[in-house]
This record gives sequence, C-alpha cells and structure tokens, in this order.
Amino acid sequence: MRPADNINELIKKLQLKASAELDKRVHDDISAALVESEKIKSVHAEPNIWRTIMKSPIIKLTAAAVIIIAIVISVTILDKSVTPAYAIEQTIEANRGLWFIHLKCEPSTKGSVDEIWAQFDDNKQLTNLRMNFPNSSDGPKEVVLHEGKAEVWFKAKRSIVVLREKDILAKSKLYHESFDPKRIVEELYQAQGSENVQIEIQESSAEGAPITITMTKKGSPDVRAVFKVDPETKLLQQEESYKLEDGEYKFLGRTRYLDYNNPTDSEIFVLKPPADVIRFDQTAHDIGLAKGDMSDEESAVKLVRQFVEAAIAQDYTKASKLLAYIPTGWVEEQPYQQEQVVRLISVGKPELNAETGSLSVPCQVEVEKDGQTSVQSITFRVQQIYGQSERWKIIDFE
Amino acid sequence: MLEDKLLIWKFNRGNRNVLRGIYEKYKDDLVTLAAALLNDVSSAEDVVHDVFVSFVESSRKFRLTGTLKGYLATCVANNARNKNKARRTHRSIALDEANPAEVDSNNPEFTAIFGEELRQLSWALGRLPYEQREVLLLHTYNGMKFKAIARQQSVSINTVQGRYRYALDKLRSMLNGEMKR
Repeated sequence: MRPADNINELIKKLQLKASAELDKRVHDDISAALVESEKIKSVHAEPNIWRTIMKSPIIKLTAAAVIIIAIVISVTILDKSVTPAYAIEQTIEANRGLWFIHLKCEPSTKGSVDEIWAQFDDNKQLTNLRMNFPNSSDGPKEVVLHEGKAEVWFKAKRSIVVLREKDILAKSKLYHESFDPKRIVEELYQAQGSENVQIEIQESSAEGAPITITMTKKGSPDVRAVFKVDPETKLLQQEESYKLEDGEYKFLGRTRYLDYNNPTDSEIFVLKPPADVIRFDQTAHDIGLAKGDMSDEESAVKLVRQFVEAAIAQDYTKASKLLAYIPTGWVEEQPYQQEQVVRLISVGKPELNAETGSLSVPCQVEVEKDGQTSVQSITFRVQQIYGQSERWKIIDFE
Repeated sequence: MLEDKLLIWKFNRGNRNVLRGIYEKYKDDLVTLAAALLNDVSSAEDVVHDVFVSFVESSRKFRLTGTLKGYLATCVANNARNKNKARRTHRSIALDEANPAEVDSNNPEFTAIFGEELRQLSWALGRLPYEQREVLLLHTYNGMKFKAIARQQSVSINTVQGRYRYALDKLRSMLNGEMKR
C-alpha cells in the first residue's frame, strides 16, 4: 500500500510525547495559578465579612421563631455584683453577617450527623448544605443540598444518587436548623425572662478567653446548655448540652463551630467521589423503565431490548433515560457512530447477582463499521432505581 | 467521554486541580497536533503551554459546549496559527532565512519530529498551505467535524470541505511523487 492511498491512516499515526520540561512548566503554572487564586480569595474574603456584618440590614427572624421551643421564663443573673459588658444581642447582631458556617458534632453516634457546612444567600436563606453521616444505616454517606437537589453519596456502595424529593430536602434542612447558631442564639435570647429558665453569663478577665453562657431549664428532666462565645467576634464557638440524672448533669453532646464565613475549600458543596463512583440522577423525568406487572427478569429483558432499539435508532435521549444517570451527550458520544448497532440478534436469560441485587442480561447485536457487519456480545447489568422500586435502569454494559 | 464531562463539570465549579488530569490526558495529542501544524517541536510545546495557561485563567467562565478534546485542539490550532503568522512576519523581514515549507524531505528535522516512517508525511504536511494543513489535521487527527472547524476558522463549511479536499489531493500528489523519485 502506497502512503498516498492511506493518508488518513498515516496522519492518525503521528504521535509525539510531551517533554518532561513541558510537563514541569505546565504543572508549575497550574500550581502558581492555584496559589494566586487562593490569595485573591482570602484578600477579598475578610473585608466582605466585616462589611456584611456591619452593614447588613436587620431582618426579622421569623423562620427561627417557628421552631423555637416554648421556654418559659425567668432570667437570673447570678453574679449581680458584676454587670457583664456582653449581651446576647451582640451575638444576634454578629450572626446577621453570617453567610457560611462549618460545625462538628460530638460524639458521633449511629445515624447522626457529625459535620455540617452551610452557606446562605443575601436574604439569609440556606443555599448550600453539606452533611457527613459517618455511621448511617446505609453505611457512611454524605449529603449535599444545592439548587433544590439533594445529592447523597453512599460511600460503601460507591454511588451517588441525585434526588429532588421534598421530604428529603425538608429533612436535610431540619438537620441544619437544629445546629444553626442563628436559631440557637435567638432561642437563648427569647428565653431571657422565662420563668423556668436561668441564664448566667460569665466573662473572664483573661485575654481571649471565651464568654460562657449557661442556660438551665427546669423541667422533666432538667436540661442545661453551656455556650462559649468568642469575646472578639461575639460569635458562638461551642454548645454543650447536659441532662440532669441522679442529681448530676450528664454530658449529652457538643457542637463546635469551627469556621464562620471562611470556607477553607471553595468546593466544599461539591462531592468529589473517586472516578469509579456511579452517579444516578433521579431528577430527570421518566428515568429507567416502569416495571408494571412484569417480573424482575421480564422487565430486565424489556429494558435491554428498548436500549438496543434506541441505539439502533440513534435515539440517544431515550437511551440516556434507560441508563438513568448518564447524560444524553455522553451516550451520543459513545462509539455507536463508529460501530453502529444495526440489529438485535438475541437477548439471553437474566442472571441474578445476589450480592448486588442486579441482573446480568447477555445479548448479541449486529454492528456495522465501514460497511462491514459483525456480531458482538454485550452483557447489560440492570437494577432497581434507588427509592423507586417500581422502576429499573441499566447500570452498566460491557 | 464521561470522564471528560466529569472533569469539565468539576473545572466549571472552580476545581483547577482537574487541569492536571486534563493536561495529562491530552498533552501528547496536543503537542503532536501543534508540531504537525508548525513543524517545530519547541514551538509546539510553547503553544500547548500557552493554551493551558489560558485554560487556567478561564476557569471561572469556561463552559464546554462540545468535546473537551475538540475544544483544546481548537485552542492549539488558534494559538499555532498566531505563532505561524508571527513567524511568517519575522521571515518576511529576515529574507535570508530559509522557509521550512521549501526544504527538502530529506531534512533531518522531519525525521526528528515524527520518525523515519512518517518523514515523508510530515515533509508533505509542511508544504501544504497552513489553512489546508489545519483543516486536514483537525478533521483527521483530532476527529473534529467540518462544522466545528468552520466555526473555528470563521469560514463556511464549504470552504472547509474544499480545503480538506485540496489538502488530500496535494498530499497524495506529493507523496506519490516522492515515492516515484
């Protein structure tokens, strides 16, 4: 074969390797850009915090008031000889400038959240939320709320599910509210003057030592919360809760507020799973295939048939829906254009994978490439969609 | 492709670290494209370097509409074209400097770039008008569609297809002629 007869093939053979010097130059520049980017962020962050804190308009805390526990009233400042310079209103005022918080909860118990990051918009509405559940019934998982969607990363199952279900979104927001320093301090403020509540404020003379607020509520049982407040920023540093048992206040838990308005990671609200984690986007319409009255095996076979037919018709939108989590564009860019599936030859009997609950469905298709046809064997794996047991989707094929 | 989508998704959200992954994935193809366009490995590496520096700077506003490979190839082609123009201007001033497009296919530079097997091809590519070479390489080597190349070159799709045909004909003619020699 003469070169001129096969120019395209020759051109495809052109291959150089980037030199080590180029590698170093590019990686150094990326590193420098990353450092510069971080500098710019930190330079801009500080004035913004204080501008926001100092200039933010006073807004009504109606949302917080709804969930305030009805605490009835009586404030006793035990050390009446000293009038503290600090007042809870100062923390309420400082809280008005909050647009980001990061907190940790201790101890970590089964099913409980242990770390939360939250971000608010200019109207103080929660816009982004990330919660870490190290020991849930689903194993370790992380939940991110963003743009009305909840992304749940099941770490043990190596999968991410994207949901837009109202109850999950609402539950996630409740989790946040239970640790929201704005709500907590507002409750504390409201409790002043309640009959069954004692609030003691202690300011240390030691420089930098936190202000301590102890709130004791008489009830059944008696409970106590001890707050630490930063003497400079007046923001909450920590809350500890106790319950009275056998005449002693026993420690229940602690919330430590680690960062205010200073996200150390600009992508904290973006889950960063390893490359092999599969993403199931359930916010798309009509994902997968409705099982209806069919058995699992029947629906698996039907699903595979529909997918192959969609591939033959180059209907990538439909193929994407049956895959349930893969964007249409990705499906379109698969090698169907080079190796066009032209015919479904057979679909074999599905086999259950007892470990995962998925079904493996073998099939044979005829493909065409450069005018020549050949037979290819493909095995599809299909599974129920998380949270939608009536629908099935293709999760993999090879 | 799914990997590219995920990389760009992360990149669009400000994760500049993914640039390292993107660079590692495409560096060889991009250096090859630039070297084939410019017939000069050193300039080709400069082009690829500049493309990635610009890419870093654009992280906040970048939105991928096509494929990542196509986007990067377009950037490399644009940058290489600018370099080529600058080089031509420089050459028109330095009249005594030899034009690489005129050099003989036995020039060791071509062998050094792509190896003996592809010496004739790289020599012939070097003799094509730049625009034709660009169309041929973007379409054949990078798999870009004529429509996308037309956008990149700001010409009609017919012009692009014409450049492609002319490039193939000229290459065929040069290579056949070279083979006969």
